[in-house]
Amino acid sequence: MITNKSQKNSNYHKEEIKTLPLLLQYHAKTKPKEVAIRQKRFGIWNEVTWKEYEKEASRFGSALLAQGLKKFDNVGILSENRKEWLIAESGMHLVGIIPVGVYPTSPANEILHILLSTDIKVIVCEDQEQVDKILEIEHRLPLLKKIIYIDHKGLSSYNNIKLLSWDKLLEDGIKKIETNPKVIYDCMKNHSAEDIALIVPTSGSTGPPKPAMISFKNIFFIGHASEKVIKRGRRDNVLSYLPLCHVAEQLFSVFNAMHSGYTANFGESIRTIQQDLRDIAPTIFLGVPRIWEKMQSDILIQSKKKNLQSLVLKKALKVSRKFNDPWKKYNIIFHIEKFLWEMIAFRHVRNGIGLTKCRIAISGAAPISQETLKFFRGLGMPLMEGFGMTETSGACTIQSLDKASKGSIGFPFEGVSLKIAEDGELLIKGGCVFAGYYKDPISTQDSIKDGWLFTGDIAKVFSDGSASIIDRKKDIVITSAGKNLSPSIIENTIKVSPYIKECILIADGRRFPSALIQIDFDAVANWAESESIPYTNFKNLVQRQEVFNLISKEIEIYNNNLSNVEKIKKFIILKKELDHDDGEVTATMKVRRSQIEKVFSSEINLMYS
Amino acid sequence: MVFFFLSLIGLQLKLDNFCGGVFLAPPQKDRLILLKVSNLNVYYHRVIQALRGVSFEISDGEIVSLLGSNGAGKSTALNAISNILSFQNGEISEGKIEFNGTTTFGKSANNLVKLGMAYVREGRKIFSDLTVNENLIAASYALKKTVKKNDFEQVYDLFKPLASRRKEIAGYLSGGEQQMLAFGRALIGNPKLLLMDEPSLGLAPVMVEEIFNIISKINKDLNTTILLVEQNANLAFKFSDYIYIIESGKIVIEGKVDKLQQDSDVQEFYLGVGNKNYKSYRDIKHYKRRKRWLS
Repeated sequence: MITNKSQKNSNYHKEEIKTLPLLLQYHAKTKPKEVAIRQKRFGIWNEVTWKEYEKEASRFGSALLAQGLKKFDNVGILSENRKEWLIAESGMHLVGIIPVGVYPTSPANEILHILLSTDIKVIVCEDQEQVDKILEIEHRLPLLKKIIYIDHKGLSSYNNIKLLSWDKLLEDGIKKIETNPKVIYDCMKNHSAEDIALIVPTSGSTGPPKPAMISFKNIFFIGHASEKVIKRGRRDNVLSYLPLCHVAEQLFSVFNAMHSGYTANFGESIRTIQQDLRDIAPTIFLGVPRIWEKMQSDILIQSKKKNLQSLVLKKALKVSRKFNDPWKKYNIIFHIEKFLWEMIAFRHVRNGIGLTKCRIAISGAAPISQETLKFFRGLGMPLMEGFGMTETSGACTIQSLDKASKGSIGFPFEGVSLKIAEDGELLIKGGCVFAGYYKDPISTQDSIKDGWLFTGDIAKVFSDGSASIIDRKKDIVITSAGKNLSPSIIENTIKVSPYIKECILIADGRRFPSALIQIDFDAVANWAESESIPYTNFKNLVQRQEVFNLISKEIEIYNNNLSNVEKIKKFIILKKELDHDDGEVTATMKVRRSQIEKVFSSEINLMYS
Repeated sequence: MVFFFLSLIGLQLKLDNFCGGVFLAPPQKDRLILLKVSNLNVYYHRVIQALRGVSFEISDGEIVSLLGSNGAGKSTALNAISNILSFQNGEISEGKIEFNGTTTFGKSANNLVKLGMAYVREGRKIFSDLTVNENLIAASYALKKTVKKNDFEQVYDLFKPLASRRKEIAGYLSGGEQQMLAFGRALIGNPKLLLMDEPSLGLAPVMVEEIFNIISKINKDLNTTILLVEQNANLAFKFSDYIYIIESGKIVIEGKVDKLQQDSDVQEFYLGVGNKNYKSYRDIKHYKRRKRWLS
């Protein structure tokens, strides 16, 4: 399995290890007492060492075998990020079962679609909320054998025979290992690099989610390629907070963590992320644009308060614009000035958002505004934009710290080729291209032709090899005057405003572009309080004339950064926050345009009447 | 001609820079606003923030309820309105309270009583060593110039059980009667606004229903506006006109009773009737994510 040679080396032999379970066993042997996972519970960070991690995972994997599951069966995980997510996933890897992540925010009908399309036999649910969703659709899932729950609160009176607690399941695992100590070893003999490691449902912003299969080969390709750009090490720390069923979080909390042997941390819950970030001070941090926009908005709001601290912050933010090009060579005077501001303000700002030790900050999963990127770079944070999708196993291009790129998404990883099709669509080839959609050869053939993956994104490739994404192919709109507009560019320009959280452009076949605006509740509420404007809740706040005037002014300001045809001429403030439950956004908060245009059709008509 | 074209270009430029919006105005209240609380922030001991920017309005003649769980900030709101926060080491750090068009800041609690605001505090707090009548006399102390003998009779008319026991020591009254006495005490001098903190606390179910009937009667017969703080959401919904739901010091939902009653979230989380299959406390859901309190 693992040779003595590789045990001696701190770095493993790349030829020998080609699957994640082997890596897990390797880490458990070479550094049994180092921390693999941290989990915060009731304010205390509990540690799980690599040895314990492997032990728990083996128990979980054996227990699944005890339930009658076989290699290549699929098991769902319906939970927020917590250590059990990783233990379950690694446990499945050990015995060759394929994990399928399902978003815990998904409503029952969406879960049903994913479970049916992936032939799930066992599902791991986090708590009562998730169990209830499964029980609601259980009669339509003939293959489902067991529902495993992690948190038993509220479930003691349930008497469904399929329910089984996590603790009870692990006990079964222990028994299985006692009767057959070689059970894991026997399973791992048949593992190959071509095996499917994970099924990730796509986000489904235009249609129902499709289950994409990612193999160990894909994962190891990404692991090696990204390591060359992001110099990672075992001392690194990440906070796992984006949904683990999304490939981007898998990349940082599982693929890369296993590859480099660093620690994945799980906070108390998604609601305590700010505090958790400050506790952990991660060295690598991946954020979706919404997270970066929110942080930027918080800092800007802070700078608008009327006290000495905020005045200094305001000045610092103004000065920081000078330093927002990380590739530029500064002279000594600049360096001194930068150092002084670093001492006075920048480091405190970074500390405030918990990214004081962050070496590599990455934005991905959706296009981000250049303004936001520059904002953080000015503050001394090397924020880089990357590009990837579920079908490219998470990532395939990223900006490099060493070299400036012409394109906004940077250079492709080593071994990845980019090409632009005749209609402007970006095509990708390389080891990162996924293994296909589960039991859907037609969709697979549509997206991979001659080894080239059709991304569905309109892009531009520059002479230096870097690329920029313009928009989703399906999202490009044409106004009634025949102008082509890219919604994401316009929306991102407007969303820079700290008071605007979401901007949805309406322009397809219309006389002029208009927008549906969702306010940033915290920022606007803060502003309202400082202006002594009373409000009770979200709905009440957005209906105030003063808020309308504020947004009107903000749009006017940011309209100046757009060309005349792109300018937003009319808008409406939404009276509710967009939510996954109501089908307006996907689990990753990507806007479902067609659904939104349907739901808010009366408001939209009002703008054009 | 040239001017015409120039003006056209000018118009075009104006149109290009124009950014208009469609303003969806909220429904307006048609009655006079008796109490207006704006962006109230309250701290205890200067550290613990109990209210975070709470705003609400009460129109003349309404029964308005503030609902919420323990520690949500309901009683703090009432204490802030009646200006007795300082007794609990609390203070208002930001915000405004207007009663009948004038600010309440700087006015002591007894001055507020003179202006027509009365407060029935949680746990009744009657003088248990005094008789029923003496309790009423004590309550009229601040109002001795304006209070009439008739006011006492009005109280006894409203609360028949008290009339027959007016000379008895108040401590010997039943829980319900003590609550009536507390109401009676507040009603001396015909207040415009009556604040009530959990009137149903510690009473038998039959008595609770009766107390709420009395509240409704006070509102209708004496035209007294009532701000009610309650944990018994079902009763509050039955007797109120307008509801504010408060959570962790913030108002999360507001609306007219009939509208909120149709809201499935409110039904499930506050009225406990979202799911007809609930049979006991064991059936209550332990969901991590609460529903959004937004629309």
